[in-house]
Amino acid sequence: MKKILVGALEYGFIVAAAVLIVAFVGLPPTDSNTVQKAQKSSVPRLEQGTEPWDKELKLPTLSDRIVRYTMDVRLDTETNVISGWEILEWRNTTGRAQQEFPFHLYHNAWKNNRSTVAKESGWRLYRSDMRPEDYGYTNVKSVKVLDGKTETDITSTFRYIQPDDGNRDDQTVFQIRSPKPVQPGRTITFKIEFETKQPLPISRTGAIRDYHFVAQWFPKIGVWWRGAWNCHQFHQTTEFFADYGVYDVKITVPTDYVIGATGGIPRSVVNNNDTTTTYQFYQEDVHDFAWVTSPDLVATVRTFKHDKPDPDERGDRHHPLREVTVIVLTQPHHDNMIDRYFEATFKALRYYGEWYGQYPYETVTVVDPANGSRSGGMEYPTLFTGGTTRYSPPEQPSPEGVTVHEFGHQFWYGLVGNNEFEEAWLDEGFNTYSTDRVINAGWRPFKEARFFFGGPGASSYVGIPYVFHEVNEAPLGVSNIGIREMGKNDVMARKAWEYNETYGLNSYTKPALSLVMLERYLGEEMMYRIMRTYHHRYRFKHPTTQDFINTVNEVTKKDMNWFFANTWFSSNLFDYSVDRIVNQKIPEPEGIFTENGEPMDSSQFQWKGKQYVCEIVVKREGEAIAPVDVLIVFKNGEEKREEWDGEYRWKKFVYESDSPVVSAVVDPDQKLVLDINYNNNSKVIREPGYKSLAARKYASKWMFWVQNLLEFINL
Amino acid sequence: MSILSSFKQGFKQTAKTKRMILFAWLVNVLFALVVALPFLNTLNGYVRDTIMDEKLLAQMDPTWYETLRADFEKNDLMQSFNYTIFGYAPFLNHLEMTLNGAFVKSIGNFLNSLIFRLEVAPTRTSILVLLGLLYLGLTSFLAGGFISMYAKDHRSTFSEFLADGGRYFGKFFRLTLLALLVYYLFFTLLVDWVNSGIPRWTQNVPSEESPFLYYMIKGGVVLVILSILAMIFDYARIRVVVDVRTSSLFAFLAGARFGFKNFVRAYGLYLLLSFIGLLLIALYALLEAQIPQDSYWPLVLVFLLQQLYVIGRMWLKAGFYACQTHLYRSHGREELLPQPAPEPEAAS
Repeated sequence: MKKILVGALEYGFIVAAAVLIVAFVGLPPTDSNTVQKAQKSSVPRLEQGTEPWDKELKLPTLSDRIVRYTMDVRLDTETNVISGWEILEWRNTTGRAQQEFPFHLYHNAWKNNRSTVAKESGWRLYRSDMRPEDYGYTNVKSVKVLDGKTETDITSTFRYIQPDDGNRDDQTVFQIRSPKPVQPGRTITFKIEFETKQPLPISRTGAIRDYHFVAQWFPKIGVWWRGAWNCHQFHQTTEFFADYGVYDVKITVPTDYVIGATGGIPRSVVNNNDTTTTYQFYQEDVHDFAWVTSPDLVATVRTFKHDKPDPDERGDRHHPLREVTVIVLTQPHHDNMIDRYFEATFKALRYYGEWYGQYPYETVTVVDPANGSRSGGMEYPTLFTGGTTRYSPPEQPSPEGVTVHEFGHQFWYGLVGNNEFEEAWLDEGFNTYSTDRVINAGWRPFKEARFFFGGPGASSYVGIPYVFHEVNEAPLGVSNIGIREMGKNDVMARKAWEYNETYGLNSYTKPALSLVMLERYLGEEMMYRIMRTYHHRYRFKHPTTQDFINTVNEVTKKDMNWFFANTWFSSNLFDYSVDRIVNQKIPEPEGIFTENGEPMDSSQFQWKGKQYVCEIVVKREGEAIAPVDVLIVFKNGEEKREEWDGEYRWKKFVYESDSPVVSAVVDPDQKLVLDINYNNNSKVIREPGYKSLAARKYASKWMFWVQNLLEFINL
Repeated sequence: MSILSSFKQGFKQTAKTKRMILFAWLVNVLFALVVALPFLNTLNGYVRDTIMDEKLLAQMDPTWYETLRADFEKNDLMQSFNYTIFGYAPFLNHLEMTLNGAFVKSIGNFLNSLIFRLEVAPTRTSILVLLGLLYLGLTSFLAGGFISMYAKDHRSTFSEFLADGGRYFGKFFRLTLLALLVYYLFFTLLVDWVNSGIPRWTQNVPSEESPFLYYMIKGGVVLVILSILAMIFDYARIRVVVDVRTSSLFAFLAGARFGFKNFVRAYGLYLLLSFIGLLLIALYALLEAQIPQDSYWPLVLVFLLQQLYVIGRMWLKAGFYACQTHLYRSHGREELLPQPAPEPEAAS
């Protein structure tokens, strides 16, 4: 009896396992289940005329130069205080007399936990380890108006204002009043003495150990824009906006410190008697000035050259680009990343230059930020910060992604200077879209990777990298899942501090995906023309969203307002699906028929119609509307491509055919990249009992994962 | 010398227990299939009627993957589907989970809320945790069978193997619970503290090399401690069988005494066996990477390779028991009287 029981147990196990394994692995698939490969639809092709399409486009070489800043400052590395003065010459191009002038004092965001930045972050400054000496500020000591040889002290007119939220404790904007109005076309000169204390890095700027990243550090005048002063307070999610001009800046730092700044190569270097050195940087046609200094930075300089077309470059798009001196300032432990920084910057210089117009400055400085400095991934004119870990494998886009992106801001933010407070997507979204194009052209596919056995480090995640060669990194480095989950929170076109937790989504992801979608609807060539035209037209200017839409309509010669109404000015979501495919076999003739007036019974009747009536119903599940293609494939390989305006909630396509429909796909070319669920965009008729081979592939891998997991749970 | 001798003798013994090793593999397969079949059905239902079926066979699509995860937000099984199923990432993933005490803490938290609050915490209760708990019970049963088999001087029958598994199950399961408690305290009191401390201790260091080093040292130290604890619990089980111990706590202490008294031999053997495990993983990773996985038969081949690996792993586990039992019998019982071996039953 015992023997029988044991046998039953053992063989029972074997039989059960065998049955389940067979059920799991399944049988080989038959050919009847394979779906015909759909041919790609043609995107609109553009006629190449005899004349170059862009012969009218002229790239501006100079900005309006509304401002001119001359500064002389000194950094005390013991106290992290920058002290000195600035002389600001401001030219009145507003068309009316001006007497009151608003200025940004961004560093006062780091003064206490009552600033608007702190308030919007839950009355704190993002870090818990702030000591009293770690806060930062800018203290304006005096303001004078210089007029020839006379100086008028107007410090008494200084007052803080809070144009956005009325927060009396916020001191990130101040206003002064000149003794007399400045007439249109005239220039006023201010001399401002100030002292900026660098905070422990909170966001983008600050001093940690002996690394000083100095940004948004001096009193900066607002912008007269759309008939009013535009000078917003510093918010948790906002970036910046300023007028173009000339910066002539002298900076004194300890002699053993390496320095990088807007302008790149110093005009003059003077060693002082007190173990300090004064560097003079000069840059025209920019709207900000940032600098970095540390004794640990390692400087490497190479030259970007691009005078003849690369083998893979289209001849009609070749535009010779100027030589650019590229300065890479790296941390000592990132010596293995120097070449990657250069490669990424060179590729970005090339592609951005070819697509939008050449990079006009002589230098660009790439800063590899110090650990814990929170200054990585940020853009300033002719200088930007990257960020990486020395453990980044070559299959991962680090530092490539951030380098291309932040360099790209030289074009979208730097050269085309939109208002980042109010329309952040015009640089972040445009630049995310452009970054993806450069990554595609220069490297793709990068792979997904994960760091094992590590954890959060000072400013990056560290561990032993493992590259998933089976998984390409998602385009744009993002998916549209965020839009699915939070897309309804906000309309994209809102001020940056007014989003309901969707600043990133609506400034980066959605506008970038929208541009990809626009490109797929209009074709790559048309998109190239739009972006190039827009960039040429608005270089050194402050364009708005409407300027871009007007450019699109003008270049395409179409009314594309429907597109923007459904994407940028709506929180509706796109979701198209195939609801059903019904193949109805037409039954044999029954009843009484008449032919040539002669009645006959069904056996004599010759049916000349088709064998099947095929119905395909597609649906609009989301509220957003866009025209979509529908691809229908019949069993005999025949394909039908239909256009649907996508407006009504559903659409039925009916065919009479001798072959049944085997599959239907809405948006087969995935033009509608904002569709929040591509999995419901298709239906395929399979044989009964068909088991997906892909499902079996991933399920068997997952099963092995579980088997392995069970063996690791061993106590 | 005694390490190699135990190693050789142990594996010689395992060669005589192929049937039991295959049985252990069957148990593992059946357990995995309990969740893998519903998983397959869900995935199949999700993908079979779409054009993604063909696309996914060739290449994983990250957008599809994110959509799947969002669609099955509340499904524990589907949420455990991640990229670590690829290549040799399962080993890294599970080793990492082991080093962070993920299993132990999940099971511990589950039991904690069940016993002390009489509730099944829904956020903590995953099917995989329950499965792991059940599997722990079964491995206690199998361990009893294996160790008693290797402790005997004669070849065991399959029914003896099962009977011994049943005989020692209670004691072994108590040992497993004791191990769970020891590991739980180790992870929650010490490892978690270190894990949360590293970002704080290194937030102002100039280079990520420091946190990297901290994590690697922590991982190495935890791995050594875990392996020593695992070795001690192995000898505690061996002691229960060979010396007929009844108290799991005393068996644990005795296992520890043996482990530390013969540390070089015992730990040397443990490391040697672990090295074989590493070789097994390397061999699997090497072969798996050679097979293109975009059609039916190569996929079947990968499946077979996976099962061969698991059988190899079971063999190795049996090898651990056999070699350690041999070592214990050679060095651990000098001061004890020999125990009479149970009478063999008739071969089934």
